[in-house]
Formats: sequence, structure tokens, C-alpha cells
Amino acid sequence: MPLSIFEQNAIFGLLIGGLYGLAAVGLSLVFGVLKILNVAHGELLMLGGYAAFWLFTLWHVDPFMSLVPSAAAMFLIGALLYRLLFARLLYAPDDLKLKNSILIGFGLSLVLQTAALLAWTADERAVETAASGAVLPVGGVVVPVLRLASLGVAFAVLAGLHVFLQKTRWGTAVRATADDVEAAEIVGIPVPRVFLGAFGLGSALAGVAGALVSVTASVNPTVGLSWTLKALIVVVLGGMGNIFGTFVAGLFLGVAEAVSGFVLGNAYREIMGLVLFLVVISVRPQGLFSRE
Amino acid sequence: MPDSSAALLEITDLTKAFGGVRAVDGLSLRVHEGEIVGLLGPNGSGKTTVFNLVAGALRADAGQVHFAGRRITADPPSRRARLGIARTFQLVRVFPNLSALDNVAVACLYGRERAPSTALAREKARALLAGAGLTRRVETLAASLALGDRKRVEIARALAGRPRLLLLDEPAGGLNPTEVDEQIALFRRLRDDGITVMLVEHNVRAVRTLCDRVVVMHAGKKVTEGTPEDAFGHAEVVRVYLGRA
Amino acid sequence: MTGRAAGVLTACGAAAAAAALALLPRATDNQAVLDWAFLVYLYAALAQSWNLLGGFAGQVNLGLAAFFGLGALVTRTLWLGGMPPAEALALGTAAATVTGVIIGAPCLRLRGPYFAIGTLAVAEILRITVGNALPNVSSLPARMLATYRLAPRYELALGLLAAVTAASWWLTRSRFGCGLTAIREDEGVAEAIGVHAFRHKFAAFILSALFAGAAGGVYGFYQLSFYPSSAFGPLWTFDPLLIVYLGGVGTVLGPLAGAAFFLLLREALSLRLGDFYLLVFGILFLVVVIAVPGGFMEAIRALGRRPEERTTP
Repeated sequence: MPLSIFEQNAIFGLLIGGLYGLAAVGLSLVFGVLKILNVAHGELLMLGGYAAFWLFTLWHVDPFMSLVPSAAAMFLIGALLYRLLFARLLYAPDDLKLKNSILIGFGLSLVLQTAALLAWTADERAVETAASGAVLPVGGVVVPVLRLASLGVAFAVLAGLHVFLQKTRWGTAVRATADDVEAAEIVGIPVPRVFLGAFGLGSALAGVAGALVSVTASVNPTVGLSWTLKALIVVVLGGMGNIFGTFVAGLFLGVAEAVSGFVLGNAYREIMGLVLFLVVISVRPQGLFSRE
Repeated sequence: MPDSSAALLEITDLTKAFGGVRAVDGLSLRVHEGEIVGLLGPNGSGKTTVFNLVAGALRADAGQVHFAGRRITADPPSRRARLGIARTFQLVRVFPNLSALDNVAVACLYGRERAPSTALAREKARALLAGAGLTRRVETLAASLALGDRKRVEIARALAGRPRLLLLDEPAGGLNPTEVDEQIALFRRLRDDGITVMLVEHNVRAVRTLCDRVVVMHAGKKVTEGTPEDAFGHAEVVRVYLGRA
Repeated sequence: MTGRAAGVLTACGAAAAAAALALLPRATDNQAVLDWAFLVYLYAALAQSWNLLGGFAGQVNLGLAAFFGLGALVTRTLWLGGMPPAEALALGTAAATVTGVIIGAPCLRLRGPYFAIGTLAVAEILRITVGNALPNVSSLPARMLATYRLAPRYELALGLLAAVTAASWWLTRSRFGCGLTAIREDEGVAEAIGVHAFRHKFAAFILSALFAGAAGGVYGFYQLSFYPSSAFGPLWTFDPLLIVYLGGVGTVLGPLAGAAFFLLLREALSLRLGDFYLLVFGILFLVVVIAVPGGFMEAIRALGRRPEERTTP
């Protein structure tokens, strides 16, 4: 029945939307704290996906278990990349900082993409476990179990992030730095370390999202750009700095894509998000959910 | 002598709010051609916001700005520069990667009066810089100049398009007494050349010697206006600057 | 020497160089040399077109490939359909320019990083759409292959490079170009001195789109076969960007030097390293942007500048 196919599509969209939200929060965190836009964010996600894939393929680590070492590895990689590439930028005036960060990110994305291509070829990689095909019939639709679990994980990670930011000392330091760098410095917050940590954390979040992508779909070296754009779209839709808003915006994008894919044909799904992005930034650049 | 008929600059009920705070609240004032008017008030009283509204860097929420009889409230800054409004900034803003000469030369190509070629613009720039007191190091990158010289560049740049109204935002800020004296002499010469000046200034000596008239602001509103002597003696003015007198 | 005299001398020198280069096909039959030179001119022209907006006005356009791709697609399609090459190129360029006019206004209203991301999004939208609509490779038919000669394409590319370099040079000496520079340095101050920022940026955007589209058209004549959507790919933005940064952003000669170096390096590397060369280029780009932001031209200029004039970063 056409209606239930529509609903099926919408559910799929919702499920992947959670991952969009997770990817977006990482990007938003980096931008909020460091005021730089890491356009290589998608490539970090891609690396996380490969980490999960290789941990599973070589050492049979359960994909959901591998989230922890993947996240840790991505944190370290992110911190290293930050030190090498972005640290020097941080004391430049805002517009120059942003422009240069975009250029550096652009270059970094190419380097990471090519490195992945050389190391692991262009083949699609997916984590295939026993549970890969399992589905849960709910009403008239089927819900793939792994995707549902991923949505749950994404939500849990974001909830954990929220607790971290609100209730812990480091989290408060992060929020303070995002709010006003100079004031944070004055009260004694070790701002350079906060920058390093925030970038690492953003990378770790990308890595977790990537791991979930390799479990629920697949990764290849070129997925980075499209995920960066998705994350950007969601950040713009949800408004900066609001974890919950970003998550909801991610779900929204997922559903919007699914619906447009259903109506216009699968080939044009990707475009929906981009068009939506352009429309929103032209009309309401501060995002749909922000309070500015 | 100030022309008492039509005002060069007329601000009527100007209002601008940021979030819930009214930086400028129903302000009205006039500046006549040939005057030097001081805009005074404690920090946060809205003075720089008024400048931004007159220069066009900000859009007013309510009220009108008229310049030489024309309503400019909705005009972009570049249009207002074309009409003859020029300004300097509270924290000096020069084009960092251009020489002092090029900083001013660019401005000579735009504004109310435009040099017909880049070569002539550079000649004119050289003269303007000399007039502002900068003769050596004009080919030096503006970012590496000392504060006093950068302020000279900014003033020369503001004068490049032959403005009718010059808005100076704390020109004496950060300068030593000798430099302030030089500035006062310069601004007096400007008035003799027919340029109307409105300045935001905290330096009492500068205000006393230069200004024909001052307008004192507090919390976005006008407290009083009159000669500097009248204003400084006014009880309300003393109160807003110092607390209870 | 006065500025005027120096300007005339430069123009004469450039014209002489262009004339000499134009004669190269007569001097040699070596197809490899001509081919390499063609690519240098093409990439340099594309880099110059990015430089008009990105270097002079300081607006980072990450969607240059959109215009290149449109020029390539439209020119190729019309030419293969039977239209004379001159007209096909004109229409291809026009298509890119018109698109620049349409998307320029909304894109330039975007604040901060959104301009860069917005233009990238546009290029991606076009790439995906073209990839879906025209998934098949575009190959030259046999009759055209039989009559394919490199020399006229070489001359076309040289002509294009001369045109866009002249435009660049004009920018350094004109009021309009000074206005762009002012905008790059400090847009708020530029507005305050009378530069209408939006109009200037828009004009530069359209000019950039025009030349990028023309470069795409030239590519459409040159390439024996390609997938139409590949002309919209991010590499067609990244390579010109790398070239501009290598040579010196905002200078006239920078893109030329950068293109020559880039293509030399690419030849050398891809022979030895195959796909590795992209990795090297990416790293090179990062090094240049982070450590040597002014590229070759800056390095040369720095040698001539007195110590107290060095800018503090």
C-alpha cells in the first residue's frame, strides 16, 4: 500500500536523522568553542567508520563495543590535527580565522580522503553482523533493529554530552569559553587546553557517528563531503549551540530527505538538503530553532 | 559663524535597541553647518551608537536622520559617504595591508569628491597626509605605524572625499598631551575650511577649546545641550558622570 | 620611473611575451610540450578567475567548479550538436555568467562562512543534478577525433589567459579594483569611505563566473571524453585555489607562477607516485596556507622590503 511505503520511508529518514544530528553536534561544538568551521568534519566521520569496520573485521570487536575505542582514537587524531593545523589560527581576528579555517579544512579533507583511498581502496565497507538484517515489525512498517539501536546510541551520546556540558567542571569551562574567550581567560580557564579538548571531542563525536554509519549503511573514502554538508545543513537548521535543537533538526532533515526521495526519486534526495540549506540561510541565517 | 537656518544634520526621535536595551532612546538634535559639536556622556550612554546610526553602519529602529535636507535614514553607509558624511572609529581602523598612502588614496577615489585617476588619487593622498601631520613613512604598511600616526591616517582618509560633516569618535583617545594639541589645531583648521564636525570626546580640555556646543547623553537620552561651560556646570551632567553630586 | 611609464612598459612586456608564446606551435611539433602549456594556461586562467573575487575582494568562493562545469557542459553540448565553436564558447560562457548573476546576489548576502559553504552547496547541487540527468560520458565522435589538432586549442587557452590576466591587471590600477581591496581589508571601513560593498562584490563575482565559464568552455573543446558531472567536481575548485595560494593571493603574476609550478609538480609526481600525488598536493596546500600565506610573490617581495615594514601577522 502506498501509504505504508511512505511511512516506511519516513521512518528510515527518522532513523538516519539521528546520525545527522550527532554529526552536526560535533561540528557545532567546534564552531561554538573555537569559532572555526571544520569542513573536514565529514572526513573525520569517515575515519570513525573505518575504525569500526577494521576493529570488527580484524579483531571481531562488536560494533557497539568498538564505539569506545573508535571515539578515543578519533579524539586523539582530532587533537593532533588541531595542534598541527588549527592552533596557530586561534589568535587571528575572527573573519580571517574563519576564512583560513575553511581553507585549511578544505585541504585537510582532500588529504584525508586521498589517504583513505590509498590505504583502503574505494570499496564500500560495511560492518555485517548477525543482527544486520534483523527487523522489528511495528504497525504497518518494519524497523531495522540496528538502525533503531543506532538512533538510541546517538540520543544517549548526546544526552551524555549535555550532562557533561552542564554538570561537570570541564563542561562548564567549555561553555564559558564558547561564550566569551577573554572572560574565560581572565577567570583562569586554561583556554588552549579547552580548545584542544573541544576539537578532540568534536572529532570523537564525528567518529561515533561514522562508526554507526558503517554499521547501518556503509562507508567509502568519498563520503566525507556529503556528510560535512549534511552536518552543516543541520547546524544551520537547528541553530548554533543548542544540542536538542540540533538533534531535532537532524531528524527533520532525515525525514525531509526521505520524503523528497519518495516524491522526486532517489537521485534527488541529496539535493533536498542542499536546497533547504540555501533557502534557510538566505531567509533566516540564525537557524530555525535559535532564539536570536 | 554657524548658519542658524536649516541644520546640516538633523536627528529626530532616533531610537535603537539591542536585545532589550535601548542604546539610543528618542534622541533629537541638530548640527548646523560650520559648528563643532561635542557629544558627551559616560560610557554606555549611546554616543558611538549615535555615530553608527548617522554614518549608516546601523539601522535605526525608529526616528529619522536628515542630512542637508535629505532623509538618509534608510541609506547605506556608502551613499551617505557620497553625500558628504565621513567618520573615524573609536578603535582606529586602518587597512592593515595597505601603505598609509594607499589607505588614503583609496578614499580619494570614493566619497563626495572623486579623484579621476589612481595616480592623481595618490598625489592628493600625499597632500592630505601632510596636512594631517604625516610626511615621512607614508609608504609604510599602515598596520606597523604607531597609534598617533594611524590616527593621522584615519583622519586624512576621512577627509579624502571632501566631506561636509566629519564624525570623530574619541580622536584624542590614547594620545599624549602634545598630540592632543596638534589634533585640536588640526580640527580648528578643518572648521576654517568649512567642514562641520561632531565629535565624541572625553578629554575635557579638548572639548572646552574646540566645541561651540555640546550635547550630553545618558542612557540613550539627551540630558542637556549648550556651551561647554553651561554643560559642565549643569547639576544633572555632574550627577550622570560622578553619581550624586 | 613614473607609474605611468612603468605601466606602459609592463603592458608592452606582457604583450611581447604573449606574442612569443603564441608562436610556440609553429616552433615545435612536440605535442607533449604543447599539451602541458595548454594545461598551464587553462589552470592559470581558472586560478586568475578565482583570484578576481577571492584574492582582490577577499571573498572565498568554494563553488568555482559550478561555473567551470556549466561552461564545459553547455559549450560541449552545443559544439557536438553542430554549432560553430566560437558561438558554442560564447553561449557556454554566457550560461556561466547568467548563473553567476542569478546566484550571486543571494550568495553574497550570506554572512561570514555561509558564503563559502553556500557556494560549495550550489556547486554540489549542480554536480549531483548533472550527474543524474547526464550520466553518460561525453566523447568526441570519430570525425572530430580525426581532425583534432592541439594548436588551435593552445592558442584559445593562451588568448583566454591573456584576457583574464589583463582583467586582473586592470583591477590593480582601477578605482573598482581599489574598492575591492578596501572591501577585503575591512568591509565596514570601505563602506564608510563610499564603497558600495555589495555592488562591488557582485560585479567581481560575475566577472569571476564569466572567466571560469570561458575556461570551462575551452576545456569542453580540449577533453576527448569526460563525464559532464566531473567538470563540477570539487577538484576544479581546489586546484585553482592551490595555484593561487602557491603563487600569491591577490597578485597578477601569482596564478601564472603557481600554475606552472603546479603542473610541473603534477607531471613529476603522478608519473612516480600515481594517485599519491593528490596527497602531496593536499599537504602542500596546507603548508602554504598555514606557513607561507603569501605564496611565491610574497616571498619575492619580502626579499625587497625593508625590515621595519614587515607586517606583524
